[in-house]
Amino acid sequence: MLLNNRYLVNTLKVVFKSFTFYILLIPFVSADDYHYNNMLIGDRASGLAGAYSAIADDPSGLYYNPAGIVYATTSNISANMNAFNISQTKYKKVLGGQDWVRTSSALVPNFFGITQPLGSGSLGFSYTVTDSTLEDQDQTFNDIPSAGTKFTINFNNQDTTNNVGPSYAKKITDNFSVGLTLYGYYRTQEQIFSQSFDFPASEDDKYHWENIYTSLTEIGVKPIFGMMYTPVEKISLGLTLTQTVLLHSDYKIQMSCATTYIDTAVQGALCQPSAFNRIISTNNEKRDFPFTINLGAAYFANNKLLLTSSAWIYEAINKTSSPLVNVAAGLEYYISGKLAIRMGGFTNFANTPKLTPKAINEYNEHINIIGGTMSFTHFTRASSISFGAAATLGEGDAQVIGGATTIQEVEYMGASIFISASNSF
Amino acid sequence: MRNTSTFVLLSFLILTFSSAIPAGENFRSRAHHENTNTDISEDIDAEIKFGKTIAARILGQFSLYQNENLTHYVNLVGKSLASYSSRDEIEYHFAVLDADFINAYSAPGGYVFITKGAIKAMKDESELAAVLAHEIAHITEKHIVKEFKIKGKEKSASAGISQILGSSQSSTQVLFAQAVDNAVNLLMKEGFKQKDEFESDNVALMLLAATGYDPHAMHRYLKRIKKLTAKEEKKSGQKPTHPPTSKRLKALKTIAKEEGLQKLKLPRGKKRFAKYALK
Repeated sequence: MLLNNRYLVNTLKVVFKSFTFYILLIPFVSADDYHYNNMLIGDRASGLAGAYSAIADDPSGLYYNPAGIVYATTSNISANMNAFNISQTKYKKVLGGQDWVRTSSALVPNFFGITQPLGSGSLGFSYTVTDSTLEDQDQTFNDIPSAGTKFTINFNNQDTTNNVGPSYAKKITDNFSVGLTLYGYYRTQEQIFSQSFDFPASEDDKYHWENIYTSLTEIGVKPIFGMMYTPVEKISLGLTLTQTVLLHSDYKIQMSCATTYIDTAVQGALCQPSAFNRIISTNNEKRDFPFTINLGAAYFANNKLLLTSSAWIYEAINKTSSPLVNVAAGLEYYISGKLAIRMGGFTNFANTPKLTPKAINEYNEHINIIGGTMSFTHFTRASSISFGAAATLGEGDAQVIGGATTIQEVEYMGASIFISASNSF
Repeated sequence: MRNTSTFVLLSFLILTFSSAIPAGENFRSRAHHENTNTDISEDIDAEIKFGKTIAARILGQFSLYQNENLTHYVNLVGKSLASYSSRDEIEYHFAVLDADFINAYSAPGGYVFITKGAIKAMKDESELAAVLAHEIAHITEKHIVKEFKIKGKEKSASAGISQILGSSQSSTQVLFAQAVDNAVNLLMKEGFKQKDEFESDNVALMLLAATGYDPHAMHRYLKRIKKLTAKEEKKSGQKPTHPPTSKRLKALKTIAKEEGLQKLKLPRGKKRFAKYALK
């Protein structure tokens, strides 16, 4: 996320000074770039709010802790999950006291995994979508005192991060196992951000229009090394170490502008009246990802009740990100041998520092999000089907107006429903 | 941050290896796993399908011995034993393989093969029954079924939805083929686990006695072929598929003693066997 933002910052530092109109909104990249814990993976893990690294004994363990798959109770398991996600980010009092609202909705088949024994260990293969945003919106602000009669903004954003790859896990001793997942990392993002002003008759019906198109492709590897340890009966501890490394990155930005508004102080040298202005820029700088440690603990009270918790520790990767800790906790209870209920809570804190008062063009959001999950799983003898939901709420600050020192309050709401199936054979 | 990471990692490792508390993994089992312990009809269908495929592979490697009378006789003896076995839901099929070495195989679902060489080394019907009973025991105790976790697909609505959502069909087919390969390898090269072989000897002994055959036949036969099989294995360079005969003989004696079979005198069926015996 920060990458994209940083690309924008690097590029826009040069471009915006002379290009953008002071009141225009900054073309944010996906809101999810400011958080690391954006999507839950797998049915049981999702129900437990992602607090799964000390359990991880089914295919979603390939993502949460590959060392756990050696504890799978049946040899061959496949599982998948489809999730429908919606979110709304409201930037309050952006223009003329009016809010700017960004919404995203997407149906994402976000997980497929399969495990089977191989030699003295277990082999697995999984596909995960760890982040997905689909925004397609338009919004018009009328009668903005400082900006004319009408300000229209159109924003389209598609951003998906995929991981796919094999895993292998092995028991080292009766109570200690290790595992490695080697994901190939692939992210594509495409944004179109268009904004226009219609000025009133008193301003001679002038107009100002800008369009920004960006595309990003990233290819890399994401190894996840996991360990699982059983110190005493009923207690399981998990540890994973994750580091994504980019091998290729291609970021393109194309900015176009047309205007009849003449005010060189704010319009800049690149957006000249009576001319169509365009800038195309590319950046192949590979961004850094935080080295991440996950620690988990689970207490298997009996065969009906399970309590679990997990914490992620992320390092800071540059000046625009902070070291961060996210936590999650979950509970699983079997109402009967055929029905289990799971619930949990998790945090998804901002990886950005707090916004600096009186600074301009920080291009950052700082929104701390918390969430809750609940799911029901119905078991047959060799399969299970789960329905669940997650809800998230967040609040924080952002600076969405270029060239201004104002900071906007932000409210965030998100929800997802998921259906998941698992088969053993 | 890197220092923190190293610290956390080292702490975990120290904690891991400094603790010597043994811990079982049964506590990980969840309530729904209890559902998987009972067989349903689909399991038996899956077992038969699996066994049939293995049997076909065996017959791809060895020809059937073309002796209708002997095949009929082996089936009579085998089916008599099977009627006293613990699994009456399975129909057993017995066949003689045209191979001179001494061995017998069984595939899940009731498929039992014995080599011509194994029959040649026998002296009476009870010895034939002993070998067939041992193979039947591998089936009744589901050694391969358990090893490869062969389960049928449920036909309930919930399971159907789950299978559609899980797109498990193609994965299942691939894994089925892999499991067949592994099972054939186990039968032909690696052999069953030692504990499975001893269990089969145990069950076979009881089955022999229950059917009315001399329960000492197994001991007698194993003792006789001990040198022969050792020679065959040396010649072929193949590793033994069964535990050392001396250990099996010792275990058989112990079982016979424990079960009170030592002094039991039951028919050996010498006369009838002589009619079909291979020279």
